[in-house]
Amino acid sequence: MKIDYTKYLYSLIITVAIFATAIFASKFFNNQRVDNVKSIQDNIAINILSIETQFDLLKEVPCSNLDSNILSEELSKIGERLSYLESNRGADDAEVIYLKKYYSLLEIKDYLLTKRLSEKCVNKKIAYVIYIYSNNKNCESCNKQSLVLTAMREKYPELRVYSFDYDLELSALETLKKAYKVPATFPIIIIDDKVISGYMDKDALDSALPASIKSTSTEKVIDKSIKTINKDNKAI
Amino acid sequence: MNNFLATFDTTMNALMYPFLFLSIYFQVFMLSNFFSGRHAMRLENKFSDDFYKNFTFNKNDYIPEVSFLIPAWNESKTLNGTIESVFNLIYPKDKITIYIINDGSTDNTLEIARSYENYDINKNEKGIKVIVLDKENGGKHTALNLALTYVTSELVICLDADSYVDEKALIIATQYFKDESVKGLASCMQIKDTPTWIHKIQRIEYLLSIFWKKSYSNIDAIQVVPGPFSIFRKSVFDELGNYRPAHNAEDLEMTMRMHKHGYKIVNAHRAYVYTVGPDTLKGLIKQRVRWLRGFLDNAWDYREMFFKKKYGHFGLFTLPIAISLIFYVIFAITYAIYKTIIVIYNYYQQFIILGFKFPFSDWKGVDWFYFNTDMMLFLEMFILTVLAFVIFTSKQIAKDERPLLQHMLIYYFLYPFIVPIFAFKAVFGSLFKTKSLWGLQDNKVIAK
Repeated sequence: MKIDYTKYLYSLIITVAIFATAIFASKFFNNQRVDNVKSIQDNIAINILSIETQFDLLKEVPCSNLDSNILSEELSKIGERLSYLESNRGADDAEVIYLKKYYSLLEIKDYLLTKRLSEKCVNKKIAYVIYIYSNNKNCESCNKQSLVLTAMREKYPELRVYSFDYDLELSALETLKKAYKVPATFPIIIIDDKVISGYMDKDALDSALPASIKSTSTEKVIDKSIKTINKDNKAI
Repeated sequence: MNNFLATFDTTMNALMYPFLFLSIYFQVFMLSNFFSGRHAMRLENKFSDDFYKNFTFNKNDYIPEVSFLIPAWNESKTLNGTIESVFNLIYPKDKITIYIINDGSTDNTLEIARSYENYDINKNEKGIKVIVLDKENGGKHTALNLALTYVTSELVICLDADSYVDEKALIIATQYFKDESVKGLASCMQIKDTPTWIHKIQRIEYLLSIFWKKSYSNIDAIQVVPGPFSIFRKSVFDELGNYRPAHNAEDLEMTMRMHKHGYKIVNAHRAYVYTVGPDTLKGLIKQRVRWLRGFLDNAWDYREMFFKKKYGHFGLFTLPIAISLIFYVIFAITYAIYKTIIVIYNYYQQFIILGFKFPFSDWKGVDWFYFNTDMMLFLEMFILTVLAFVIFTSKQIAKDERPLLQHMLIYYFLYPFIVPIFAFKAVFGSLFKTKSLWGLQDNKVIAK
């Protein structure tokens, strides 16, 4: 049978077209994700600026008017999305690094705002943890530490966790590292200005958290001392 | 350790893309071949089943004499059914001769065969001559070659003793030989019954094979004329020689030999034959190791045909792509299993640190952000979609009424775990020339 070489050529063209379509579709959805994160970050930046402006304009603002809880949820949302982007596009991706820097700055802004709020309003005291990890320095416990912190956030929804990549080239982050004299052993957790390096399991981290956060726990506690009284006023 | 895994992951990921390209190229090429022959298929499909069932043979019709060669080793369970299916063929009985070759069976295969030898052309309605040949065990190729020394008919039909031909198969298949350039014919093989998940997997495999065989046939590059109901002109054996040991894959080797000499092989997509597949996992793996290793060893023997245009599309495409896809399948499935292990390990780590959590207990609803839109996923979905189309089309060709979805799901989700086992064994055995095993029956093995 005579060989029809055009079959091979047309099949190659179609295969290349299929590959190109897959590349285009993947890039399109990735760009949508990046735009989504940028948009949320821009919103947070505006909200932070708004609250800071409130502080500056009105020296004596009642504590009841100040509420930055919404920022915590938004920041946490970005954190999850950034982790996903990082795992998909790689930690070396330029867009991911840019978004991480933006996110880190927003975290630092939120951290400073939280401190100001805590100092001003005793009943608005907010517990926070600063978590520093490294992708480059062979930190095998960092993944485990992230899981533990996620569990703590689920247990104490009002706990703020600010996570920073040690190797991110950001001057504000360098200042934070110097302020706390952060060592290069990972993971690093800072609670109540105390720096703890090395992995902390669930129990260790729970006991290190400030007492003020414990009352906000979502876990149910069964008090066995409560007795049920029947209609004749006798304990059952 | 993390750095090593990260590097390993990146490397494997990068290697997947050329393999995916090859796989999609294969599918696109085969689809184009299949559709290029749709006009001829439509012409053949014009003749309904009733047309063949009511076929009356005239003197001037092309009705060649045929000889069925049925080699049998311990086939007492299925031999009756095979012979009866030949008796029921819509074809002049005086044009059929059956040779049953008992290859040193240790059960009552010989007695069953001899019981048919008593049929007398003149005395009963069957009128088919049955000749039983008895020999010491020596392998399928020796049984076939013994029968070939007796054959005088124009066409030779090899039929496995665990296969059953459809009543219309012979009349449909023989018409292809009106074209004198046709030297060999592959039929439309299907799995007979599907009682277990092993059979369901095989059913899907055979359905895929129906489509690929038709595609290859349209460019005269059929990869194998399999044992059950394969038809050859007697002259092929006179000119090229009889069957060879061929690493226990004599049908593969004969196909390669025919292509090497430019002999035309076609596919009769309506000549149905039903075969009994292995019913245990061990039996299936043994059979697949034999087939795959048989292909690799014979491909090595015929390596001069690779990429040579004088051997047509068989040399340019069939052989090279088959070798590439074997290694792609091994690589892809190994990578998928590695990824699955990583996912399981991550869940295990989570369990150790956080304790047991009900799946989806912290589900916050559908969030499009986390949908996997990686390029590899799109390509894999394309491959699976084409496979589904191929399976569905083959079901129409085979007129297989059995439900499809459950069998496809079993094939998609379970077969990838079986493939690496026999693929590794076959490749390892071929590379290091380990002892070859024959696995016709899953509970009996003869070492060669």
